[in-house]
Amino acid sequence: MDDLASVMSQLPDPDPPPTLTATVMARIERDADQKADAPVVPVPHREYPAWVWTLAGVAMVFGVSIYGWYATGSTPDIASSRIGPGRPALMPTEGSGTAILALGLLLYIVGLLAPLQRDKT
Amino acid sequence: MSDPEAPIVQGAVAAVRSGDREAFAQIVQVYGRRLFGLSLMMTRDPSGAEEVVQDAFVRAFANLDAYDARRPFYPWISTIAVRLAQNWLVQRSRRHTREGAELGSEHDVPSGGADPLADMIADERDRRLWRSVAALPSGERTAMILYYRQDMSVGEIASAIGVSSGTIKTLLFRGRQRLRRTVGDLSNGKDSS
Repeated sequence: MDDLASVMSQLPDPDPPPTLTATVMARIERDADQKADAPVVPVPHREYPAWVWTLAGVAMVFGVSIYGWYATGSTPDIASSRIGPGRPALMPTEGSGTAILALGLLLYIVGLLAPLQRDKT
Repeated sequence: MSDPEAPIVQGAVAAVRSGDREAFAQIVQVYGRRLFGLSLMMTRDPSGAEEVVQDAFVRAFANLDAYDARRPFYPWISTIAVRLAQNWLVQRSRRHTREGAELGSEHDVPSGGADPLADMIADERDRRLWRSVAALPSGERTAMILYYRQDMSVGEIASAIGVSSGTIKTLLFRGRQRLRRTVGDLSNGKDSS
């Protein structure tokens, strides 16, 4: 330290405003109250993007189709006519397979329409 | 420099951390005067200094989790106050520039020779001494105050203000030269004011 250290140490610290402590504590209390009163923002539920629903629908449709071909024991000839005996159906036409197919299509449509629903809200 | 109030402050910090908000008042009482003096020396504006000190305490409270209790409290909170005072000076400078005030003078003492801090000092010699310090350019004044009054190292000042250590050394060198001249005048009985 040089000679200026003693000179600078002679500078007095002026008294702070008498209300300093009260003002600071009031501000701290106010901030705490504001935090406590702040509305709790609900955590938004997770939204799956539309492509997930669409993909799920497509996957179900394909899954049911492949199951149908596997169940009938032959692969369909897409190019040939569907008319005539002995030809396996491209899609199941009865039972639980139809229900799953319908569900898949429904999911597919829901996925397609999801962006429109979001725009409305 | 050891802080005789450290045990009180550490106790208050522990109490606040355990949920006793009111304990923070002890910290304000212990360091209020010193921080107000620091802020007033930097801003040279009583209302500005009060605003800076209030903000410093409120921020310190809000960020108390960031304080390392193994270290002394005052350097931590004074760094907050220094940064806030720096921001206050920058904002005031911008405001003055917008309003067309003539700024940029090297010695940015308020016009008319009025100096609120000097008016708050009773002793005539102390008042003259303060005017000498107040007449320093703000960068030199800040560096001198932090180095000599707050016992901060060059590195700590550089970190608090956000400049290089070399810049602080230059500011201290210039500040010392200027202050020695005016202090010498004071010792010789000359008064520039």
